[in-house]
Amino acid sequence: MSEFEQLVDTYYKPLYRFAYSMAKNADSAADLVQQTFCIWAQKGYQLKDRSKAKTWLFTTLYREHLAIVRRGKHYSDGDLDDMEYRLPAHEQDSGRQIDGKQAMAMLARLHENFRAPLTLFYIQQHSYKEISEILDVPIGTIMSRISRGKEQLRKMMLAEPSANTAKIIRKNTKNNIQNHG
Amino acid sequence: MDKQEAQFILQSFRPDGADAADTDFAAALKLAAENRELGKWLADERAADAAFAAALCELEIPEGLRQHILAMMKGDRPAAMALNDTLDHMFHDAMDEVEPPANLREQILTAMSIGAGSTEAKDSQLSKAEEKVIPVVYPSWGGWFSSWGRAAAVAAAVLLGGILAVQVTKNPVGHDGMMAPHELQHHAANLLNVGHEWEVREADSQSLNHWLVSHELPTPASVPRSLRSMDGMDCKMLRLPGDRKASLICFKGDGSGKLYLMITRNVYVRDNDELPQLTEVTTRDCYHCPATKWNAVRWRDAHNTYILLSKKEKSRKDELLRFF
Repeated sequence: MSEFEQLVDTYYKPLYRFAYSMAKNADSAADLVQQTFCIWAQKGYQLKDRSKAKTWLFTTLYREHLAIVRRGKHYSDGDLDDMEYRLPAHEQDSGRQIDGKQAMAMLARLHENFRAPLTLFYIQQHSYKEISEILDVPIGTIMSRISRGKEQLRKMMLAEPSANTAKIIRKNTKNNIQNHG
Repeated sequence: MDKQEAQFILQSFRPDGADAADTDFAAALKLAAENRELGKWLADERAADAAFAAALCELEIPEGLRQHILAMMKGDRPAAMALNDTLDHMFHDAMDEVEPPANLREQILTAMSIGAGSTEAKDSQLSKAEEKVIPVVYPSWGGWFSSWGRAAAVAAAVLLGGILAVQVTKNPVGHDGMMAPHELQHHAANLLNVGHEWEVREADSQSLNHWLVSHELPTPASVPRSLRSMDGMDCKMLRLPGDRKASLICFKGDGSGKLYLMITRNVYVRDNDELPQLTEVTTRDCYHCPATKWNAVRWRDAHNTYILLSKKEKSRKDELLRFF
């Protein structure tokens, strides 16, 4: 297996999840991922420290996304825009309350300032320092946006709570209120 | 550090514990270990984060995405895009091969000379002159439709005429001074065919860029790597309809003949949305124009449209890719 193929296998899924969160559209997300690897094929050789490949790829994808937005080109209608994001009202205690689409739909309702760092945080590929580097935003701001983004997600999930996740969220919200109050 | 500060920091602590060794979290984790309430909060926070992260990981990845990425690296494109390219390519080549009637040029020139001479003439005389220079003799309809083949030819001509009429109505060249990529290609190729004078000779990339910027011309920001290293370039300003400008650069560093690069700003080009980025160029973006006898590759970046030209046989059009 070539180095390039290994790189694709390791990162195309988390890159796609991040791209989907930014573009809110499956086709545009796939395009962004392909474009990112194209740029790697052209310029990746310039990266001497190969351990930085992950951050390089996510940074490149995010910049491509920003370039599309800056050019005023709009993604086609988002898959997530009309999707029901609330949790099912009654669900068995299976330990899993939402699926990937619902999670994405909730993220999609956040402002991009919160959505980008929170998605990178949840796909578990990056530390807050790496997120700061990828998004080119100070570390303190990233921590603040993760915190506030989570708060907004909590509010969404509490709008129609179900099963375990809601229980956990309620507990934490209660603790937060106690701590802050 | 108080509990509130610790909570703020620990909210950025990844749910899979990957940050456990990070010193920035150490003080907050220590506090969570000592404070039961904070410890409980952290456990719940991580559980909620882990549930959300697990949900995100279940997001369906499009079937074939991996194959598309790998295939694209080998110079192929996904099937849907390839179909469009093939159609575009087919129609582009077909259009290029449509030849005007043999005597059209003479008729136009005659009409123009008579038209110029008749500006002082009376309208009645002009009418006679016009009648004189367009001696079109129509065959009888019965003769035309004597065979199915001719009927099919007429139908095809009507269809082609319809397509051209729609195209001309939709995108009239000169209406706003904008040109489509293939028109720009013809424009540059025709200029190269008839000969021209270079304004800059034997320049290196730095002095070339300096000259281009000083003349408010687009610079070669997005060009194949192998062209960037070539020196001894010639260059000139190309005038486009609507008093718009383009850069025309000649590369001579390669042993297999000269290459020409035309660059113009995207705002002067219509219908260039479908052009690939530099990194996306494949064999399907290589064209041969039978009218001008030039091979070309076209692409764009955020600001400019690029056309790389080489005068070679059609069979060698894909050779341009070796510069990418």
